Amino acid sequence: MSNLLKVEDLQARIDTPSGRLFPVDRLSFSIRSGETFALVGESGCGKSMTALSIMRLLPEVAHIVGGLIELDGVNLLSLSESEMRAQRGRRVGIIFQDPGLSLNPVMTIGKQIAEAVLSASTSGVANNYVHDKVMSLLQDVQMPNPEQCVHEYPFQLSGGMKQRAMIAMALAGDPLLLIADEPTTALDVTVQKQILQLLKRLQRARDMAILLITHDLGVVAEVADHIAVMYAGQIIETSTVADFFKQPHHPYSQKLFKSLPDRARHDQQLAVIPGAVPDLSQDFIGCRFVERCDHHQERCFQQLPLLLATNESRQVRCHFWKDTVVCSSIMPCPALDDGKHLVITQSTENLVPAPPLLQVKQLKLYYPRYGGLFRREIGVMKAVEDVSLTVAQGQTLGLVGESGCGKSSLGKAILRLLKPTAGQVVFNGMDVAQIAASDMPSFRQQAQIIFQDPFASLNPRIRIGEILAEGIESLKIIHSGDLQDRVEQLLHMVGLEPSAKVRYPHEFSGGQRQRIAITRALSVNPSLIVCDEPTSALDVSVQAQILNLLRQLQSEKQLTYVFISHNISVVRYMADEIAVMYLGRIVERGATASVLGSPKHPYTQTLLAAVPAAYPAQQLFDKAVDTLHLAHSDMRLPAGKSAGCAFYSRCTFARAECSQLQPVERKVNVHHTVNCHLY
Amino acid sequence: MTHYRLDFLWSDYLVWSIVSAVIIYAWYVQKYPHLLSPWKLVVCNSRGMAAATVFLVFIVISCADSIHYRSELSVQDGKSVYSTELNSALDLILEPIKKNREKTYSAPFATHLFSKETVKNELGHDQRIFPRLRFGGTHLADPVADWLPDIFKKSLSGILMACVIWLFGFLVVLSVMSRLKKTPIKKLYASIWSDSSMSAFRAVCITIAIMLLIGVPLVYLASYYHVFGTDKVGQDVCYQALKSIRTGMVIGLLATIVTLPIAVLLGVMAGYLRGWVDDCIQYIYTTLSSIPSVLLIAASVLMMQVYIENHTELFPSAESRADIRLLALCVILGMTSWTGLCRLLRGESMRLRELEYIQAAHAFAVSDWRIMMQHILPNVMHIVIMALVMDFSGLVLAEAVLSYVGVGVDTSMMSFGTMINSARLEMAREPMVWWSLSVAFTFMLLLVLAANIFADAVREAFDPRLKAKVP
Repeated sequence: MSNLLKVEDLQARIDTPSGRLFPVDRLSFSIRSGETFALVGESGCGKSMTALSIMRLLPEVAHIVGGLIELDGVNLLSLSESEMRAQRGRRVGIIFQDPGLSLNPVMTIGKQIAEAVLSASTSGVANNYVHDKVMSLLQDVQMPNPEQCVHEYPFQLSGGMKQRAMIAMALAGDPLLLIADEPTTALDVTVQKQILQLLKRLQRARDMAILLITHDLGVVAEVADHIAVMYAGQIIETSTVADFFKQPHHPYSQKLFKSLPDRARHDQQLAVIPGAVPDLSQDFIGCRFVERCDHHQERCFQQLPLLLATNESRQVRCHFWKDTVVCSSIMPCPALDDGKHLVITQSTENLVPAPPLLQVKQLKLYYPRYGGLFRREIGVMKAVEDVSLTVAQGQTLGLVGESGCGKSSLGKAILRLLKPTAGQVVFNGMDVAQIAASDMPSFRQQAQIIFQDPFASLNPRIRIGEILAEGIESLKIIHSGDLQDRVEQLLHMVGLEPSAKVRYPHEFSGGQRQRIAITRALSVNPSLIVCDEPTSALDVSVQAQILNLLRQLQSEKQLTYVFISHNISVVRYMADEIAVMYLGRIVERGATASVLGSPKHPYTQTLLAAVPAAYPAQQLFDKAVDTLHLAHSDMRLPAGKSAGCAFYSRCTFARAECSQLQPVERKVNVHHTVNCHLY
Repeated sequence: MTHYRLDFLWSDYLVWSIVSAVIIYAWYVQKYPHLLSPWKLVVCNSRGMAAATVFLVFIVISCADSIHYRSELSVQDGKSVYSTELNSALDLILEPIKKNREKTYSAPFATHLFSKETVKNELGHDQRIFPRLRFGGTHLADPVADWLPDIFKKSLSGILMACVIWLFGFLVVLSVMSRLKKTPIKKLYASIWSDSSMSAFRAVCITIAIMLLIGVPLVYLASYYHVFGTDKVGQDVCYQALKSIRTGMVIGLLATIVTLPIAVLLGVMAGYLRGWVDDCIQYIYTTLSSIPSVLLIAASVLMMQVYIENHTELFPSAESRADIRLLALCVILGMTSWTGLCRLLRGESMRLRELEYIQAAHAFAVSDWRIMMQHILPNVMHIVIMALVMDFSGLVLAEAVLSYVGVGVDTSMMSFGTMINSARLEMAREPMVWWSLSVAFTFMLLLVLAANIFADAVREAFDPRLKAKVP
């Protein structure tokens, strides 16, 4: 097969007041038609800039300064802007990360797709042709209820449906190449699975090439044929996916695998890549990864390694790749592990159960919904419904579920950041739901929260020292010594310089900001911390640092965590116990090993089957159960109206009683309960 | 030697308390490096510093105009009798041009009146001629022939004087700086014109040079001519314009100070607390903003005028009456113009209250009041500063409009509005009396523009997100 897209020595430059930098530096790769080519890397490594260069849609400050981009024999860089416009949509289409931002909120889906169809067709076309084409595109992307969807606005659709509409628009001109820039990052795992399957199917039907840009190795393993790993604007390794996942050659690629959390590493620290991606504005002499590499030698500092071919389909940019490949497998390998084993309380079974620190009993949290002329309350949104939980001192409870299932609301209700509608939250013997105002400070001191977005969780106008002092001052924590000493001590605890206290949040990277957010929570010596998706906004290597820090702090201070995440691998690594939430209810809970090892509830099974695994050890659940319930996961969900099981509409095992009766909690074993009529 | 008695008006006290508040703030800021660092950025912004220099001149003029006194006329039975006329330090400086009143209109630099008059000539015949001015250009023997060379000569010597003053000042500053920084003068001089870190200093020097080049010749000429002409009653327009600056400043500053706490407090409270507080505040500002503002202001001003006239005993002099009227106008303008800013702040606070750092503060049981002050207020400050400057300009302009309509400041008080108002009829005249309006326009433009550019520099320096982008 010939190459459809050929990129050679592509170089893009950004001019900033502080100097020039090259986000894409002499990049070469090629994609054959019908192939899925994955471009992988951490944020800021130049993946998206590469995609935008191919579309010639770079932002104003950036220019392509050299190289060649050839699509099906046409050099895209030599085209005029109007000729390029003819290429976009018709020969190369693009879909972006957030379908909510890419669709125009005031136009119906049908109109937006019709617009794409019209701009892709050469001359005037009949109205019914456009309509038929729109309908056929919607059928191609397997949009549920296409007749209804064409008349709907983006806000009426779910995230997965919006992404389907986006794909339909990108396909309107029957492109030869589809660029998918993180197409599933904003979606839930079950929806992600469907979108990936859809892309695969469309590709086969149309013999289309896909350039998939992602940070998720699991996604790559799932769909890609070929992979290129980018680091600091360069490709450092390229290979077929099969070979790559058997044995990555570049030290960076190997580290990426090791920083993925999985159950097998539960009692170990995750491997972290020290430091951060280098500043691109400097002049590089040697290897760009040298400062973070464990294997670096004198030569690495002096000479930039070239992309060396190791076999005909494989290249690696490392002088010593042969030496670094010591293990034949990427499975955790003793020779490469740092051997740091955490001293933490081992598996729960062997120990006397610790006293429960937190007990949630029949908790309900409803949001009122207003409507009508006088904004009267017309109903409620049941965010949390009849949730009961117990968390023992020093343990971690993982709370998993798709977005909108109420896990964050539950976390905030536990902390009384939201007032529960009914039920009890018993913390250390006091009922937080009915807590008196005078007891509030002492509760606030004992229970804290860490948020998802380290950029939104720190006030940009306040210096770090003041951020950290806020809780201490507000809750009047008594401690020996000066407040400033305490702040410095806190910073030291999470590995930050004491000078950080006079700086503002924007001067720190995402990972450092998350450390600051953790420090803030710790400043009042809490015993319980609710971690609300603390790593989902971070890169894999930074995620590993934060997870390690959280576990280290837990063992040092006997902290109890409620760990909320949609990322099951992370929860599996962190949690002693797991609770799976679906539409406000807990459907299954128990010891992590038991729940994830033999999931009972159909929803848990679906969730686990949908998680893309980068390698077998990460595989969470038997692929055979795959796709059973997936078909329905995109449907609009009734907002908990039916009397029966909330999962009823998506469940393939549903029986008559499921629609009538709310399932009650049943014991699977001592450490495992499930709410399902099947058991 | 005449004796003086300082006699401050209410607005004088307010002006000086604002000035002292700024000085106290500056003294407080220089003690803390983290508060000082954004101001250092302001000082390094050449555009902002040039505007600040111009603005400073306006401030100095208004301050000089805010020191009022009465001069002693005579002493009776050991008691001094003071003049009924209230003068300010500015009047003292401008005494010559204040006193030199012509009969009616005269154009800038004119030697003759603007309109013809019937005068008797030496022979006793009635003649319709443009009579010579009483003060403007009286030193010229032959006004037709000598006029242009005289103006040229005087401007030239004015420019020369300006150069001398500027050079002298520059050298003094340079030598002081070289002593402080311990660098030789030559090196310092070279660095000023080449070093980019000195660009703000350079901009200030250039601004001062331009102001001197325009100002000094005008001041020199002003003692021979009416440089901006005279108005209907022969009053020098230059004097009027300079006196109007204080009125504009007082209205701009005081009205924004009245606006500020109402708008900020209500806006942040409505956005952050929501619920019935939000409903109440929204109700108030929608009602207020649906009443035509000029109507509302006119009604309030007229009510206040009636009150002043019925309580003359409270306001002994005409000046104090005019002054109270000015203050009342500030309060009225402030009370009616907070709705726009309030609405903006409510929207922004609603966005901010959902952010995670606010929730983190809740998790520390930080009080609502503290959250509003510590977390929300600093994050809406850029809106406040922008809106304030817009308001300052808007209020200076609103005063002009209101005085034009006749519900603004007292007619005896000089302001840009009254200047425009008195000039409006003459616009229809042929040849046109253009100078009153143009002078008022130019002064207002300079004042508002300087304020806008300076505030822009302040906003840039205080926005940490902007700093992040441009390291």
